[in-house]
Amino acid sequence: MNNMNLRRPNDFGRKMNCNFNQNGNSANNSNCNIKSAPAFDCGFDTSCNMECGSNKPSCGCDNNKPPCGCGNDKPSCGCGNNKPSCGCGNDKPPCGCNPGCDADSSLYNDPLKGMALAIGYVPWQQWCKVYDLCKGLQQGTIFPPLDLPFYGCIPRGYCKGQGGAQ
Amino acid sequence: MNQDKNKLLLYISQVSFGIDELVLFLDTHPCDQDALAYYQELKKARKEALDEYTHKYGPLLNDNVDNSCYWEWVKEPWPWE
Repeated sequence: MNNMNLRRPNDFGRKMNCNFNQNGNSANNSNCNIKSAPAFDCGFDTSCNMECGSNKPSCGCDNNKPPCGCGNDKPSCGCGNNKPSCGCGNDKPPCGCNPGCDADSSLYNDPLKGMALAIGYVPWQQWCKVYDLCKGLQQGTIFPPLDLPFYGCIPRGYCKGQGGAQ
Repeated sequence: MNQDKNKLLLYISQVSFGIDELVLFLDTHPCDQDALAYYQELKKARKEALDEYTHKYGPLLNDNVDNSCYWEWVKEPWPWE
């Protein structure tokens, strides 16, 4: 599972065969080899030809390209210099440029906003001695490595002083 | 509900939960022989417990109803009873 994000979706799940080595890679599937895996095309143009910081209004205006690389403080983000609203198409609500509309954006409501970016990972679980059935039901898992204290809190949230993350 | 019935019901809950956990593990570890062996063990234990419960107290699940000329399922109390 540690390389799962590199495996194509249809290579995973019920189609797995028993040729997996301990790294979770299929022995007969070169797509699971990190070094030889082709670059995954997520449908976005990954190159950025925008000239942000200049006076050109081209940044992010092409409907086929996601806006990127433009700071909110730059008035040219997706807008013509003479247009006060930000957002490339008429069907898109203004965003980013007008502080008044930020309150309605999903970014504003993101509870994780402001936290450091990171790479999420899930280590490959190994079989180990499991709990007996009675303890398994009590603890909510039969796997001791998954039997962890719960400190779940909303970031900067409500469990301060109770061991929870803030 | 008598003590033995309660104990047996609790055991069925425990072994059923253990199987649910194993299923999740096996979904991502389909070749793990230890997990497969334990799955077979628990599956057998659960079936024996369900059979015992059905024999003593009636069907716990609607697919535990024995072959009979009467639909035994309705003899058990309903959840709200």
